Amino acid sequence: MIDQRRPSDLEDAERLVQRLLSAIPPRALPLGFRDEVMRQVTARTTLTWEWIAAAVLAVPSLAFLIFQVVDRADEVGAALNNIVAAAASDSSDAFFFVDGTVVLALAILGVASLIAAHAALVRPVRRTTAR
Amino acid sequence: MKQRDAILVLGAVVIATFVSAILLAGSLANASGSATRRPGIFFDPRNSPPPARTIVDAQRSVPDALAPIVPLQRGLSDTARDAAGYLLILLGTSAALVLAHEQVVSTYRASLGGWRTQLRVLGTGLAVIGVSASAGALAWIVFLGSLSSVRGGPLGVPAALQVAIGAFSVALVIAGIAAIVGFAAAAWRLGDALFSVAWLRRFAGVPAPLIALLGATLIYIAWQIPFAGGVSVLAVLAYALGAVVTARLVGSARTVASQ
Repeated sequence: MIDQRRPSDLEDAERLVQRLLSAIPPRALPLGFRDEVMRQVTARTTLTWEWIAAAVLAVPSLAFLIFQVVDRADEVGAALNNIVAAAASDSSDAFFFVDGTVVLALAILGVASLIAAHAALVRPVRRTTAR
Repeated sequence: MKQRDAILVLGAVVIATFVSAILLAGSLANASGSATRRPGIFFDPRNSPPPARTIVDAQRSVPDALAPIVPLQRGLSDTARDAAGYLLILLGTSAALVLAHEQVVSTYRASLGGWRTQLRVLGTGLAVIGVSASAGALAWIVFLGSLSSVRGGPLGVPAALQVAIGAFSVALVIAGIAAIVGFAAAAWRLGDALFSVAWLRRFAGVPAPLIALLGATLIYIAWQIPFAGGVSVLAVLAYALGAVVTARLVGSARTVASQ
């Protein structure tokens, strides 16, 4: 007769341990045990580092872009005026130039914002799961 | 904070310091005090932008500590300008993976399977593009044909055209959002396919977002190939839309079956 509770793939060396552990009567877990375990699990997956990394990456790019807007507001205005004028005219050619550091700053700001969004979105989900 | 998290924060600090130095050098080299400076942003239908200052000139206008960085800043600036499209694709894929994670995962699951499934997804996407193009063109024909009756109405032709263009733009944005979600899933599938190659299988533990970004990189590279680039972009767009539609249909079928 096959014991239904015993795993079928036990090695000889494991049978004694299996018999010993099977002899222990089942006991109810203490109240709050699950909550405590889940608290430890969620505490281990804290995303504080994501907030720090996002802030560290965002601040220089943001400061640079603000400086650019303040320092080159007239150039931005002139470019926008030319864009509106070109949209209304029938010119078939146009010249465009943008400083690559602006592109770099915008890309890094976007990445930092995504890291912050991830930290903000994942934490409530994990908290809900823990409950 | 675990050791891995601390290392990641340290890496972010190092990157931020490097980028700060580059941005500072760029700001000072093109500060408003300099006599001949190139505009930060320039658009003109008639005139070309003024030439850039030489690196030696730019080095004179920054502090000595930052002078060695100026050539690096100039090279990085040129590279970043050329790579704006690539950065946009990476950012869009990452944004879809973070902000629409569940949709991307369900789309990814819908595109799992053998070559028959892949062909079905691609065919569905091509059909969706065909239907959308036909419906869009017919909608414009019907709308423009009905403009004669609008001519005497309270709105007038220009306002009616503006409303139509606005509505069309909204439809394009909605299709674009679906395409971005599908693109992220397609890039993920492409990355998976790449890592199923025998000599890359040992790196199978790479996180899924990095696999998706690698797939997006491959798609961008394929886009740059002359002649074949347009075909590959059309195929990727069709696959992306097909995967989104398949995921929606599979979800709807499951909902109906459960009821």
